[in-house]
Amino acid sequence: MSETLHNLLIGFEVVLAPSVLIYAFLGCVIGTIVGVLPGLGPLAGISILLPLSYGLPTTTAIVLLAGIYYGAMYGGSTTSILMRIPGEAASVITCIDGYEMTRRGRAGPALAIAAIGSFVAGTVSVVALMLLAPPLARFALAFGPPEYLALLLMGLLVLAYISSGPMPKTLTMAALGLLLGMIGIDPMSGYNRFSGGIHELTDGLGLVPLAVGLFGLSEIMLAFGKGAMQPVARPRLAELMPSREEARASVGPIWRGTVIGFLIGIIPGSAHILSSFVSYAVERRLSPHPERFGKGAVEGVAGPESANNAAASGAFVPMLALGVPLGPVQAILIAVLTMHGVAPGPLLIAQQPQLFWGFIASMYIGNVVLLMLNLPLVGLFVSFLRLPYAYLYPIILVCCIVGVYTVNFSMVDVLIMAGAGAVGYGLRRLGYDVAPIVLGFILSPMLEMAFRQSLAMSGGSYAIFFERPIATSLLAVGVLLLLAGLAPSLRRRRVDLKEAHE
Amino acid sequence: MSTSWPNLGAVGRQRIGAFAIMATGAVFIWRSLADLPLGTIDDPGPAAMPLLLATLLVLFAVWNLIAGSAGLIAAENDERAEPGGLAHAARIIAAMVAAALALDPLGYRLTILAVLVFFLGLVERKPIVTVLIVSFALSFGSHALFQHVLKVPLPAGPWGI
Amino acid sequence: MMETASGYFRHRIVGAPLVGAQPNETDARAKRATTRVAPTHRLRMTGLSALLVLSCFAAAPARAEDKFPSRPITILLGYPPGGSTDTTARAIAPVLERILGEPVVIQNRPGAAALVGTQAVANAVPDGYTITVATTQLALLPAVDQVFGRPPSFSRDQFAPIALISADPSIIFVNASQPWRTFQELVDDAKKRPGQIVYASGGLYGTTHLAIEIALKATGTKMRHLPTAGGGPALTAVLGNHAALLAAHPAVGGPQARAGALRPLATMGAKRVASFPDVPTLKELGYDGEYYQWNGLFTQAKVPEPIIDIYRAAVAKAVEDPEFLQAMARVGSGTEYLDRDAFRPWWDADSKKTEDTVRAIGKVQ
Repeated sequence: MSETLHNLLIGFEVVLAPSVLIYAFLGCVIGTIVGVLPGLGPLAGISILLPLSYGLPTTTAIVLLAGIYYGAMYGGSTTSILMRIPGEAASVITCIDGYEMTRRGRAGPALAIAAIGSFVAGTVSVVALMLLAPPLARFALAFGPPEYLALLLMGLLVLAYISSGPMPKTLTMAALGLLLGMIGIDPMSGYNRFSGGIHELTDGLGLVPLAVGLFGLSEIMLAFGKGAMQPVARPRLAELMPSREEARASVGPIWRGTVIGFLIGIIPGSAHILSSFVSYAVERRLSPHPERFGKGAVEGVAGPESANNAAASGAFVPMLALGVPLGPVQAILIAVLTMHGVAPGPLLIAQQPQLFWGFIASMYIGNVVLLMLNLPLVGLFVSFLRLPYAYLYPIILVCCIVGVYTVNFSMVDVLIMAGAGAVGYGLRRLGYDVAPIVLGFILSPMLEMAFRQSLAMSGGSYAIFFERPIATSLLAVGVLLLLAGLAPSLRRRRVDLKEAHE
Repeated sequence: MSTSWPNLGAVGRQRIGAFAIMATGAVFIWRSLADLPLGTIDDPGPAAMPLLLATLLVLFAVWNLIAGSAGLIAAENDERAEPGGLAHAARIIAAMVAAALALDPLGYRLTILAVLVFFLGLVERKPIVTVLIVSFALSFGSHALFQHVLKVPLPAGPWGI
Repeated sequence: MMETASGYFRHRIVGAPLVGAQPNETDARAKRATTRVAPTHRLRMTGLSALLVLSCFAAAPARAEDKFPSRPITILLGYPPGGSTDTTARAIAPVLERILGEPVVIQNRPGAAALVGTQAVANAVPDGYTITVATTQLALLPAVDQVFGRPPSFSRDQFAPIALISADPSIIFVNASQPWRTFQELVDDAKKRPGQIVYASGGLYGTTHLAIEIALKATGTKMRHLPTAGGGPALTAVLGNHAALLAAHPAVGGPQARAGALRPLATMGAKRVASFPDVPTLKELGYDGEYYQWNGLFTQAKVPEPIIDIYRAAVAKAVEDPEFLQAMARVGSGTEYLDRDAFRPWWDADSKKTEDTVRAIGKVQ
């Protein structure tokens, strides 16, 4: 333990040097700008600024890029809360209750809680990363396709708790999302599915155009007329910070979100997107007043925001401990390391301690810098909303176009966003809640791939799901959760029937 | 209740929604069976999961229809809808589509300029001077931000604009 | 101010250029506006936007081009940042910039397994200012299209090779906990239980898939294929022992092997790999199979010959440049330089190998 502290101090010594600190700050600022823009996510931010990092010494380069990554995660929640436009995939869930808080004049508290929750989650998960990276990485490696499938099936259960509408509507929207996720090339067989010969569709519809269109565009289309989209009353300075009740209500969700997010984040694959969804569902399930969700419950912001920051840190565990990139962001960071002559791998921590600890220290610093950056900016962001609506919404539309276009430099993405906007508008006018579509869209390709990969491993035998302890236990937990979820409604039906008989 | 949206009533809207979704599911079922191999139980093909999901979609839509018609679930409408809302929505979609198609041939600056002038000038009828100032400032300014600060290359239009 | 908006339009816009208004005219207009509604920020906005508009015309139009290159060059990649193609491009770009005297910018355009970017290169104006670093995808994607009966998205003869830059042989790594200590043991075991051993690849028809299939064909064995979503997930799958082996680039599997998590059994090149001097080649073991993960510089076929010669000369100098060699060494990639005349037959042979292997794999469902 003392050795860890000693190493951490070395790391801090490296990072607190002014030359490095400037780049940490710069990275956070750029990341925030990038994150605030809908669409342009942390990946784009890092790949754009990659050349900037070449001339820098290794630790500084990593600190800069990690700062951008974190900044983008913090910034992404800003547009979700203020305009219901998801900044990037991880902020989709924040749109639901975050935006409702804005509509009730609680934009400032929502932003503040998001920043504070992200800070707590980020700091705690960095500690966990620091202490537990190697054993966690080994645990993460044990997750193969069957385990992944079991986990994703539990993710399916989460779908039911995402929406506050009646079950048939929620399930229909979830099924629609699941089906839309099938568009694109099938990685297991090479067939192009439902892409109509359009090359840009072979990678699927794209989460960013879909989410920005379904959530953001439809919101602008619906909010027609005076008073739309603006806080009901002009917020005073005191109202920019959370009230005592809001703060107290956020404590539990923040802690739970941190744990959930970190655990999901270390698992290989894109599962970390699920962290915010799972946190939302857990908070809703645990809340004594679940009907408040979807109407501006602060728990619906605190939990998911903490979860996605913790997942972002968790995703670094395999990268640092094993040298294995589990996503495109980590791939770039690993490329940066290799270009500086540092070979990432299981021996990185042992052979290059100043790099590992410098990175850890920079994550602490990054979190502090971002909190200091974002809290004062809350007032600035909220006052942005006070622009006359006639000027505000065209500017937002332009931001959507740019943000979505710059993900792949493809105008097809903008068309998809327009289509998703039209569909989202129609569905909402017809009385549906579009949130489950996004979760289903994310889940189905991963589910299908995990399932077919498992069968490929076993040569077609379904027994593989029951021969592996982690997979079997996860499946069992999933079944229990399903039964636990159904039990109250079964009991209610029995009570209704009994009352009907009397 | 918007006057431009046909006055269907809650149940009618439920029905339209359910049928539209059923139609979507049917299209996916048709394309899956037509183009893609089904595979076997121990080696499911690319058609398997889409077929399953599309079938579930149709079933859930039918459930919706039945539950809605029987009045078991409330059909909500977004309470913020106002007259003229449909036209506003249609304008936005049209502008987005036009912008998407114009981005590569016309370049970023001209496209964004056109979008802003369209909304601020033609739709919102703001004073012409303000419209031009704001549109030029935002389109050229944001281009400068992306091109020089963030180093994101944006498409150039005719004459390098 | 005019009475109606349309009247204002008719008066102001017709005959007067909308763009490039002279500062005094804009100021005059703004002053008239400010007498009505007087926030001073309007004046500031006017000046600012006029400045912005004028600054866009400060960049002079293209000068007469009598010397190549006379403006920035773009290396358009079909791969995302972080992959081997990207790092190779980033290694050579600054050196080429120094030699050619013009900025060399890298643009990533990933999508559809390099299809989107590669097509963009093929369709770009063949003036020599858009080049690419490419690999097997030039032959692979049309071959896969053929297997599925689709019209090919592009064809190899839309591209003109300039030079081969690097070619690293794939190495077959097994999970360290697996019982096979030599490649021959693996082959014998595979022959005893055909189709039981699982290998991981970074994707169907990808380089790591083709490499193993070529090795399997050379040894006459059959194994079960576990496709994953890319090089990283494939590596994870083997590290976690969900698959027993994979064919990986030496730099990718190297750190893991040195840490003892993976064991290299054979390399698929003509010679042994410098970083793994104890690992035999397939040829030495008596099996006829070679596979390289290579990167070459290409441009459009219609680019005039003199321009291609300029590039060829530049690359010939670049591959000797110490900055380039150092950058490549750091990412663990060797350099294997072949000028166009030697590269073309090499590329044709490699492409044929790719096409044959893809055809042999065929549709998996």
